[in-house]
Amino acid sequence: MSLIGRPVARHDARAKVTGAARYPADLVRSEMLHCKAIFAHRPHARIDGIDAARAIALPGVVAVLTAADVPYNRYGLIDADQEVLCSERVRYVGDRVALVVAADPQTAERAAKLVEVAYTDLPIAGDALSALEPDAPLVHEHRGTNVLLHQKIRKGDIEQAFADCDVVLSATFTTSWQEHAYLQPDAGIAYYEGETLVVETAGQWLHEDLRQIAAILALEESAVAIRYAKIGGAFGGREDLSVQALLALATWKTKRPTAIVWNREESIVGHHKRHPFHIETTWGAKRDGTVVAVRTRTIADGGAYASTSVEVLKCAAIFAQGPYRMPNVATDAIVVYTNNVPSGAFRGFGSPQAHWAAESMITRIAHALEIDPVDVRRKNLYRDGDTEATGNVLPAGVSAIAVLDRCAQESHRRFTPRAERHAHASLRRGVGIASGIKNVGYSFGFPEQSTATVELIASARIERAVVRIGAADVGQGVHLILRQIVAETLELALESVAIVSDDSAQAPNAGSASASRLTFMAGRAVHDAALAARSAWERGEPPEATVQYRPPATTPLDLETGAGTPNYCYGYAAQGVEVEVDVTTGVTRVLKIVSVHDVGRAINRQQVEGQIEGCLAQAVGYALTENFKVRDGKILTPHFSTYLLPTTLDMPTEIVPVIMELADPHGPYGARGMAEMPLVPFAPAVAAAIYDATGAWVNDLPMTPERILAAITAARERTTASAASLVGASSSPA
Amino acid sequence: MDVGKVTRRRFLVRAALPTIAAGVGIGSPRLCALAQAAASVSVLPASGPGPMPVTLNVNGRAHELRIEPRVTLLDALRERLALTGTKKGCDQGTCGACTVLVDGRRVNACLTLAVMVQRKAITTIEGLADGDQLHPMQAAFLAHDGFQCGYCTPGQILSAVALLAEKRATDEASVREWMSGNICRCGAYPNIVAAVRSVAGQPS
Amino acid sequence: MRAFEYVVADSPAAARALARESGDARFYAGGTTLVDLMKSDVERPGRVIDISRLPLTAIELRGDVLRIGALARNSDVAYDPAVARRFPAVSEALLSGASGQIRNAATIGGNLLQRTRCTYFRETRWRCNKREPGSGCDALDGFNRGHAILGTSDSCIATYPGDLAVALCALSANVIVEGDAGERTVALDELYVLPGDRPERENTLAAGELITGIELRAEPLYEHSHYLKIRDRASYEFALASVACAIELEGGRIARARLALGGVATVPWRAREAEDLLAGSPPGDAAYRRAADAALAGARTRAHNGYKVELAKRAIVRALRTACGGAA
Repeated sequence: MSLIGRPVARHDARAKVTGAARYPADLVRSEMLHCKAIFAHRPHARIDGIDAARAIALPGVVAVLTAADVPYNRYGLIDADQEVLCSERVRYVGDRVALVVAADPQTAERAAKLVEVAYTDLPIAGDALSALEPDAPLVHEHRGTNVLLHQKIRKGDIEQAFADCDVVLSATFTTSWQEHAYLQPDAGIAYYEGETLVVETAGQWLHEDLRQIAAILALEESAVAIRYAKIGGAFGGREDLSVQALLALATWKTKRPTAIVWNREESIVGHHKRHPFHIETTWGAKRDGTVVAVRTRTIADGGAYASTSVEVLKCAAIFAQGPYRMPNVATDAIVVYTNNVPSGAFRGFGSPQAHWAAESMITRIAHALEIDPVDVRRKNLYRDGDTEATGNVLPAGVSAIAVLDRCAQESHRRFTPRAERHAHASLRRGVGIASGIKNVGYSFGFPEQSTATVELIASARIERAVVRIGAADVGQGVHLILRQIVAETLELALESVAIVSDDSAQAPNAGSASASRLTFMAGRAVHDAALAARSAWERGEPPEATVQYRPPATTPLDLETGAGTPNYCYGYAAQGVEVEVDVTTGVTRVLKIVSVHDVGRAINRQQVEGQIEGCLAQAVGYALTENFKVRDGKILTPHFSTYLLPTTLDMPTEIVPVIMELADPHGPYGARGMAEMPLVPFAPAVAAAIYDATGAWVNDLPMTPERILAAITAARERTTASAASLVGASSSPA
Repeated sequence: MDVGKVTRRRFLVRAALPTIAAGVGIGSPRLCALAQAAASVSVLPASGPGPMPVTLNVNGRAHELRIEPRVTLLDALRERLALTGTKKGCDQGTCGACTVLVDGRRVNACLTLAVMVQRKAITTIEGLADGDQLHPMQAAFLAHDGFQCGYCTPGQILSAVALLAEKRATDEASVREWMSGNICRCGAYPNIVAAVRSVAGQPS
Repeated sequence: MRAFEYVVADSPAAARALARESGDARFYAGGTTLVDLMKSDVERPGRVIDISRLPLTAIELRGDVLRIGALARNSDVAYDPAVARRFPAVSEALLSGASGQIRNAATIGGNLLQRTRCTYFRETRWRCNKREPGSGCDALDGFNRGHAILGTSDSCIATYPGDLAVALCALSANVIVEGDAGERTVALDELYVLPGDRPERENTLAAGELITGIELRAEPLYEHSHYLKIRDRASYEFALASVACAIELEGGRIARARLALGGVATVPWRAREAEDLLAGSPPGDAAYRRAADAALAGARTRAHNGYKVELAKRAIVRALRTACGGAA
């Protein structure tokens, strides 16, 4: 029986239900030195001096490290613009200025309070719009501007197209930061194993952590090993370094084992977030529902450091018109440095923000033309052979319409009929639908590869296989998926396939656990390596093979026109939601979700459903409850008491994950990625449902009760005003 | 039991600070005469702020520790008893990852001082299975894939065990209400609820 | 968390003596507020007095008077049959608060005195008159979406966060306080003090006084009491606005009404003008809305909490409807 699609259990399941699974903080031993990072806790300041004398004098303090102790004090995923320990200037509240290393956590904490840092506060660039003003303080002075990227996409003749439209609608949308809130706060240990500096933490990409840490310490990569303990969630939040560099530095300096455990506030202040967007957009359509022109100006708050901002904004740029064929496009996607917490990767990577505007707009176009929103979508959705706004032909396997149709069917079958939705005076039901597109894998010419080694234990037949691939299992279950693929390929029992994956020195580079890419990329690498190893065995050669899989190439986008080939694979999604809006209070609950995804092929159906349901929990938070607040660069929601994650009671009882399997031409067994897709169309589907329930559109995320109430009040006032003017126009003198 | 001395000297040297406590308000100290009048009541000797002997009965075993009164049950379990199955997610009672049972009732170990639960029966995730035999709730989480990253799982399982003992979760809605003190950021909620309901014998 | 001296009290008198002896003591009952605030360095007691083993856990209905010991756990009280039947608003309020775990640990006495969730109070990097008298208030011009609109002052707009006290306030509960002169009884809404220019002082408890219990007098109208809580999340979250109310109908008119608000005021907020307006009126939205307008007449809003005025009014109307439906 085939292993593909079967809900076999994870091999670490037993450890997870018995408490035996070891996460980074569980590795800490009392004999290790303990590190405490000193955060700036001010958004922008010059460092005038650091006096650590009193701290160092404290018994038990081993070292107080500062910028001078860092061999190469620059790092970053794409643009190395961040310092491990700040030398001259701090640019956001989470910047680290010193690291106390002490015999125990209490001493480290006490010593941290004794380190005196003299600052001169500087004016701040408090948000993206003000940071664009000509006289705005510069976050990185040598750059001469706060603009980190201004990506344009130009296609067709936008002005003429709008002039020829039957309906043109404009609106401004905003989104806020989103905090990953992985339940395991950043932590880890570092130690020497012989000559090798080992850093054992949780992350999303062993070999990228390795590259950055080796560079920071000016060491050969062979002198450093990164190991991952069990990873307590990631969601993009562990893509950038947080504690890893601090640990490596401390052990490299002291030559002793060190540990660091961040508390929740340190984690929230100390790592990047999803970008807040300000989106002004105009959509134009013909009477028949064909959308012909979209102009968008997006300004995103990139925070103090580059992180992955430029990639996120390019993704947002190519999805500015959603998953729709569009002859005329003018997109400006701008990301700006500010003195806020850095923005970077978070599940969806710019696509949820872009869809918040695009999917809201296409529904409004449908309403303006009095056409069913499903029909308008179907008319405009990408088809195989269509060209993107960037000028390339879409990668093969475009399934957007099939996905939407399935979603419409399932939604229609399950949702409350229109006539019954407004039966209750204050609890109004509404339904909404939205489509989505998101790339699988790296984009824009970023080197994309995944490497795996498969070693066979064979005599007369293949008995066992050992897979080596440095792919991070952040909870999504990728290790199981990879074992399933190899077992299937070699016709082995699952138990006969072992995986070595959590050590950069033991396993080759799979690339990151991000961009919904591991099932596709790492899956393909282990699949191909398994086949190659079997061929070698069949030829009588040593039964082992290392294969690097490279997908079809992508290219950078032209900065002025956007021309290029952004991606090699897309995932398509559509969602229907039914909400209940308490129009008296604005409190809104999602009652039903139909979430349809073309996953190419579900390697493990249970895990795919788990990814859909789990991603939806983050989507519910993004749409409704997660209200990340910053004032003057200072984070007001650094705890779960004020940053509200959805509980089980906030999730609908009726979640219908629908898995479609329209095979991708390149993915292993036809699989394509899917783990981010449920976040992409969700918020606009909820907004459409709220509109259906109340007649009011909300343009700002999250849709808190007071925003919904305000929108309802404004919509009523508009209705009353237009009714009044209608009466005024038509009434004859009595 | 010792008869504590409430001495006038100590009363006088301590700074007065009008405050409000959790549970009880304490105003500024008033007349010394009142303190003297009350000096005849019996009190146990004060301990701390340094380490004091604390006996914790965890998973059926008594552990003699010397810890400061400020040590939470969560830190005592993790750092002194090496029982790291109980997780620290927020350290503020807002996520439920540290849920343990104290005399059969679920509490947040992060909001509980270890010294306060002396001589009470504490159950952690490590004490739930009977040797190799998983507790039915553990088995159900496994069967229903009631987790992804697994970090919240020990707290979820202990919360669910207590929930069933409380006999208040009669249907899906009440299971969800009573499990809402355990955040799962991976969002494995549907499978968690299914696991709990299966052990409760509720048809899903 | 700062180090402190720990001592167990085996009688209320001992607890009080221990408290009086130390100028900076705190009682530890359930610890759910105290430990949290000690970790964030807002509470810095030199001595923590363990009162959790005092025999103050009984829930007893004697005649028409229900007495709940200060150390009864929230979850036990919520499910007590007498409480649920005679004072449903109390039960509803308790069950609407926090999580199963916290309700198991939290005590009635501690719950009454839980401190505000104001971010600027709970984070020591901000200025807060309540935490450090005279330092200023960053909430006034900060992000104050959750802050109070009733009972505020120029020094403090921090919201009283609890649910239970709001229900008890509406039902005219008494708090039993033990002091040196013996036991005294204080009306619940006289326990709390408006912030004025001394927001650090939150209640009228005197030196060495200990809450030992609460008393509720059972009255027919309380059997139709109701607690409504509006919040950002379906569970495990504080109120944006909440209403406790009770209504008694007589001859097609409202004979008596009780109304208190939570989530919108600096203290549990009894709305007596609104109660007076309701008395004698025929039940219905017109009367409820009049009462709601009266209850919020004194509201003072800041930049982000203006929505609470209308939200609270609507909550009042809805809660009265529900209570009236039960009473009819």
